[in-house]
Amino acid sequence: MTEPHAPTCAEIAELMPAYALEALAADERGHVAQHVRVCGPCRALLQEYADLAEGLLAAAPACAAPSHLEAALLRRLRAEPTRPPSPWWQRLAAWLPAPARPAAVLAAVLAVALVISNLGWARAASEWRAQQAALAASLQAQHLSMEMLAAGGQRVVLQGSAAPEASGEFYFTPDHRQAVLITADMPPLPAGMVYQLWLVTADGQRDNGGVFSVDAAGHGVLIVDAPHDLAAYARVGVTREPAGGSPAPTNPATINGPIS
Amino acid sequence: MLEDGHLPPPSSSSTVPGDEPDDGALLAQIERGQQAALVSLHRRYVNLVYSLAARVVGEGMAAEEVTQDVFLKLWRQPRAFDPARGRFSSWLLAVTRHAAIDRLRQEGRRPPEAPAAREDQPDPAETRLGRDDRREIEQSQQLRLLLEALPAEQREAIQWAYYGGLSQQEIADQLRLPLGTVKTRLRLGMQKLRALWRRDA
Repeated sequence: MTEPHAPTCAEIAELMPAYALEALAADERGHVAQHVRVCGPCRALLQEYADLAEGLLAAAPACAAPSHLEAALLRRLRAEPTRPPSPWWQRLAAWLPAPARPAAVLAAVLAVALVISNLGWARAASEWRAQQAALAASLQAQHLSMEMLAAGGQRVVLQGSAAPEASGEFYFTPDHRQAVLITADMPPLPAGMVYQLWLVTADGQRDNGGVFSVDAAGHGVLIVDAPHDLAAYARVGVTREPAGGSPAPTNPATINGPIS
Repeated sequence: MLEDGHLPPPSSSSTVPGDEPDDGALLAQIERGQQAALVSLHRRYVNLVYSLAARVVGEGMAAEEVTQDVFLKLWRQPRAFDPARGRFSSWLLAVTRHAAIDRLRQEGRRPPEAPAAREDQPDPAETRLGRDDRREIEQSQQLRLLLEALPAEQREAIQWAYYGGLSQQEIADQLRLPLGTVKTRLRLGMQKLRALWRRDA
């Protein structure tokens, strides 16, 4: 019986070029990986080969992609199922304190469902209690959101203006006053400040849509009860305002977008 | 009352010419389902991705489909890229290489021969590339010249392995050469390339 031979640094170095090019047999690959875990100089040498291999990826002879590829990509995107990749209810869950999550998310989902499916707020509280148990068991949030939108609701994306990375999603139905705003990547608020939603008519009048704050990741949520049906408004925007909100905006819009 | 300009008109955009969002910001937007962000990344990297796909599967329909698949994967799984593990463009190209090699294997075909070296290489990248990416790609094009300067049998061993997705054993079978010969050619070629690369750097 002989002990399996442990490869030397020189032997490992001979395998490295093929390792970096992903051309080694599995057993040899294992030898290299195992060795560099414990050998600093070999790890540094392997990194050089890995960098070289990375460079070779961009070293293919350059050719221009056919110009129709962009249109083709857009066509395939349209065929994709609608995908809010990180659905708003998950972001909402992350935004809420952990103990509040299940009930609060359920409440928010239900609230949006009520808004979009045209149920009145007065019925919300009693229905919430009645439906909570049943919903908790069967709530498939993704299906529900599809159903909400299918029920005639709209979702518009608000873009960052003063803060380019910030964004928001505004869920509403034009012939109702209720709506939901979900934000992401909003800049953190200084103490004593809040975000305030403005509902802007076509002739420039700004109505207060309510105030909200955001977590460290800029996530925030606001249930809106507008003074008029949303059809009365052409745009919405969010500004930073002193706590309690302002009668009229005093700062540039952080995010905004058209809703008509 | 809000003054005009506080809420810009609908046509305004968060992207200012000359101040385009970086890859990370675009990926975050993709995560939120914004197709325009994917289109921006596509414009930024489509030539680079297509060039590598074309090198592996040959120019034409297959390379176009591989390119599309790579960007659709990005759309479906924007979190697959981990910024802690390096630059986005490198990751995108690694994904492209694997997708293209998978395609070759599915079709059961041999990797195409290396295209003949061209006198004038078009710029593989668009002007929208970030400064870091642009520098890396310029260096990579320099690396291509170094690769072409290697002895043919060493260069081909590297190309069969990396752009063809073949193991050393598969190259030996393909070229009807002893495995030891393939290993030597590949090792010598990479050692030489590394030495030239270091000298130029």
